[in-house]
Amino acid sequence: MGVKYEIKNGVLTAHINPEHDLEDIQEVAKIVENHGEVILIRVDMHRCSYIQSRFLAGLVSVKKLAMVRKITIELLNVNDHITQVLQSTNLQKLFVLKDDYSSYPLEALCEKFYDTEKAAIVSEYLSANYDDDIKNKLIEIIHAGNPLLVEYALLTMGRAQDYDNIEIYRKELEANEASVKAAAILVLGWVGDTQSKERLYSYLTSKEINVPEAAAASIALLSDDTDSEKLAKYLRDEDARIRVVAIYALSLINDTKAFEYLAEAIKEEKEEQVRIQLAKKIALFKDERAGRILLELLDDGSIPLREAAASGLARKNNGEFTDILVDKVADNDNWVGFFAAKSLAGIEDERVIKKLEGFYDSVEQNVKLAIIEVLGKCKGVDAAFLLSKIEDENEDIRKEALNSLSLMHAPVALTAAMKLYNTDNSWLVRYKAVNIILEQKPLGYDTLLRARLKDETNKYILEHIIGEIGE
Amino acid sequence: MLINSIKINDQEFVELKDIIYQNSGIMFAENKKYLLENRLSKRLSDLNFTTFKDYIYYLKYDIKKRQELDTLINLVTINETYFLRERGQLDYLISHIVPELIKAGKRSIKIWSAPCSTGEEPYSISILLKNAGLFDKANIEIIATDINSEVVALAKKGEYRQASFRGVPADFMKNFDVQGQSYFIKEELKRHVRFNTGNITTPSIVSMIGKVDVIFCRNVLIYFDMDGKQRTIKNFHNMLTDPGYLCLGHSETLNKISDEFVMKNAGTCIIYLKKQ
Repeated sequence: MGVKYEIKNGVLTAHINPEHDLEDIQEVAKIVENHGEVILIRVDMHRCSYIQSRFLAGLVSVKKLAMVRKITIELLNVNDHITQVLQSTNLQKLFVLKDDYSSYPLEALCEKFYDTEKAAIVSEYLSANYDDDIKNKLIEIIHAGNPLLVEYALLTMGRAQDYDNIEIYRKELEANEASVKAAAILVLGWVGDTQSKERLYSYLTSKEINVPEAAAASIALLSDDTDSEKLAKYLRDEDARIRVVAIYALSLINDTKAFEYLAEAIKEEKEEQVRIQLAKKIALFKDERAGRILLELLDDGSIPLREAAASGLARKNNGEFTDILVDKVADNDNWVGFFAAKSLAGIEDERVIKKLEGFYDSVEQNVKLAIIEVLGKCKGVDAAFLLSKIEDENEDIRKEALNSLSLMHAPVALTAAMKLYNTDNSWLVRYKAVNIILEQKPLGYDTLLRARLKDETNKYILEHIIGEIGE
Repeated sequence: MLINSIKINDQEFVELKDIIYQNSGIMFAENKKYLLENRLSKRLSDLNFTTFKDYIYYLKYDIKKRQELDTLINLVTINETYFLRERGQLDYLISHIVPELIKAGKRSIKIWSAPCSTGEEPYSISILLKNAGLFDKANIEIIATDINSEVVALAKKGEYRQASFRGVPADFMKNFDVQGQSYFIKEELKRHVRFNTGNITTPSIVSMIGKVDVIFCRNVLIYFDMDGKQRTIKNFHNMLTDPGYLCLGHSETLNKISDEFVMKNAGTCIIYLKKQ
């Protein structure tokens, strides 16, 4: 039957269909043998809903040839059924599985808008490759009116910054389906249609799914000096959902006025869920007052709010609140302690480092893990503390200690990794050790890794090593 | 649509897919990273986490870890479906199939949705039949089965999140009661649907469900090998009455699987009719 193929820049792409058999894949092997320039084989299976078992056997023989020639094999667009076959036959580790949307005709790509998992990825692909054919097809889809397709047609045109079809987007604001309406609202924001901004305000109070959130996002994108004030009125709406939408919009505007409205709102807001949203969004402001507000919230009576505040601080501590935060590491809520520890990443104060090490024995496992992670990001940390943890009985502690060592004391970490790769009974630790060995690639690293392959029982480690250095 | 996806690195992916495998038996291949990112980013964000590593520690060390594990498994293993999916066939059921069966003298009609996943398809049918007033004209029963008892339990509960309402018209939402982020199907629509756990490829399904007038089996055959497809379609043929209607997914066909059905063009979609 023959496999269609092409070779370009050392890449051999073979187009497979379900009827292809052993002889066909053997033909691919012959092509590889005859073309010394091939460095990558791409087996495109987008037409295959199934494959012949003999074809699979042939693929393994091509893989063996590729290993000898140090050629990578990628299997493109493998469907779930064939993936399951590869998994159940333990062959998946031999190949790199990838999606490549350039294999598909435009019509088939647009059909993928039906697929909830793939729609966004395909939309991004189409917007990155936007041309008149794609544009015309998307307009055709919009005119046909199937809401599932229209939603992603609009989003694709918006992502491609297609300014020529603003009237189409405006018209879809009247769509009967919330998903289409929300897409049109977002796209009008993306293409900067300031003329539509006032109209978008009317969607902020919509009860429809995602519509107010989309309106908030677009109003923020189209905002000028007057919008923070307009949006702040919604912070007093009796509907908590609308208040959360306004918080979202103000956080996206992210100017001083917007910050002040949110700072005021958190003093007055009574509902816990809305306060949590306020804490999360306040953490996104660079305003120096934001940290102090979050710090005050650490003493609130609500545990979820304290955790949200601590999480926010973990992303914004610049050293100003270090003394307070380091004490919070031993907080009676272990997630507050966890985030407080994380907020100290990058601190170079020896006193703080000693305090963290001092807290270590008295805190919960998750806080211990955060402390070890943070110590890997603090200059001046002694390797001895971390080294002592690679003997811990908890596998996550050993793994995290190994990781932190690798960030601060690479040679020490390598020695530890080479030992743990051979001796640790946890696959998580051995996997991390393999990563460190592969990152540092000491002389003979491949021999070291290969030597243990026959005793290695963990499939993830086997796949990882074989994928990197071959069998 | 509005949540920024949190990226998962290789070590996190391996650890998380192992947790999922140990607790559900489902293995995620390398090319499914995006799926975990898509489905879990919002959950991570709700829990204040910015990395998958932190979430993995939450699954291992939080006092509510058992509960979170259930949430995780539900989020990643349930195939996302939505109300009014592939609507053409649903509209044809309401505008042609059921009215014609009633006109032919049928007083009792059985519609089978298999597999039903979390119930969006059978409840869509229930909603459309109710809106068309067809429940008043015949005794119509909707039977819904799935091999996974956990999704059947979720379907029975009838609670949905926003992802289930992709592309539905605004007035469709009147069929639900809203509580926070959840939408509950109204009891009057729920009572027309009977849920069961069952495997559509096994012969026992025939006696379990009995004779049916219409079968919806969409976007499933593609996952079976040829033998599985043929066994399933054979079961369907044995279960369908005369006339009997079979609705497959828009990318599925009976070509090379069975010649015991006739393909019928039903406007914007295809329906298979059992040969008489």
